[in-house]
Amino acid sequence: MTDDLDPRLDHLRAELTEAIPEDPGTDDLGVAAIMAQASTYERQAALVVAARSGSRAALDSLVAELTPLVWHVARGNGLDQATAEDVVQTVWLSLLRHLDRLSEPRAVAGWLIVATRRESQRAWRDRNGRPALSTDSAVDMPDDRWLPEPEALRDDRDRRLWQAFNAMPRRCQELLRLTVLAGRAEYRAVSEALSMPHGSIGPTRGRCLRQLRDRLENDDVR
Amino acid sequence: MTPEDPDDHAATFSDFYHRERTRLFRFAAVMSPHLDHESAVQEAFVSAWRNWPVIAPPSRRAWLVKTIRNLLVDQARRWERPGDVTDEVVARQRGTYRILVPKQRDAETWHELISTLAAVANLPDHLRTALVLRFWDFDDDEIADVLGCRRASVRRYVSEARAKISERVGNEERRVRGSQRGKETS
Repeated sequence: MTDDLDPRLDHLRAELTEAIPEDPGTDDLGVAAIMAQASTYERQAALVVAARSGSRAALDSLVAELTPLVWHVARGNGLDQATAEDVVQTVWLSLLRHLDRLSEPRAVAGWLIVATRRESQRAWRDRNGRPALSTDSAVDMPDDRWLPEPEALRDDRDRRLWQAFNAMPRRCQELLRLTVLAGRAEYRAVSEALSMPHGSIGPTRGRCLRQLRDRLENDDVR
Repeated sequence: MTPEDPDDHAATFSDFYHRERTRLFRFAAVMSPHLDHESAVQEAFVSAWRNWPVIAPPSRRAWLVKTIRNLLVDQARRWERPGDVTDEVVARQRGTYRILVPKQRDAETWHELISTLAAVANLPDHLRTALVLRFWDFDDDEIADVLGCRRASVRRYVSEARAKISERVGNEERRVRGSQRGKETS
């Protein structure tokens, strides 16, 4: 019985070895990105500590740096623009109230994510989770939401989009994640993280987006 | 927390990263094919770099494996909460087995691969970890370090895991197709 297992496992291993190939990448791109990300935590921690002792500037740069993150989490939880804006405000206010009690300053981004998620879910419930459907509330219920057809279309679009995205070269994915998906682009940070000249980020980003669009269009034809 | 000799740390870290990442990616992929193994590994490397000076060099790999395991558990927990389903998660969930490249192959071979992978993924956590680490050529000492158990237990876990998989995937007819492909790791 176990004799049977070895060929099976060997086969699986061979397939996986092929699926996740040895990446020869001799450049230090990945390492640079990791170090940049790690130092992000340190810098944010320093900003939190400074903000705690009353530095307005530190607080401002913390807000500028992390608002895109908060925004994305809120939108990712299904909020529309106006509600997401409210949630972002509320979350920052509650961070201010909790600033002294934050025991691990390096975890500030994680704290914001969790707080935003909770707040978004609360806001979402307030909007959509009405306890009983009365005739009145039925009238102003948005009727373009949760219908099977738009939902299926959206799902399909998302699936194809992420598929195309995942099929792109890793460098393109990293660049798009840092510039497009993370919201406002900090080109200086991006060029440091990807060890890329400042001036070539814009054009490369354009090429990557074009490539993504081509992939999507080819996918449509098939 | 600044390392006392940053250049040296950067060099050893970079070395380690280039040497080990593929194997760790593969490890994470087999551990939890339905989760985002790439981001778990990436995140583990980030926290490894943050703690680099205090991780003892011989247990670096075990440290990363443990961290990856925890991150995968975190991911799995997050998914149980309906509020967190973002578009990206939905898209990824569909491709549960996207780590296996779908290509031209007959249905039986495909089924065999999928069911082996699923059998591995469904093992209890300690058996799965032991088996998957062995699968990618980690040695007993390292596996024992990761699991916090004795070497003898590692052997036992691996054979128990194998027995469970055989039981699960059955032994209908001899599979010869896979046997001509040897081990291509290392």
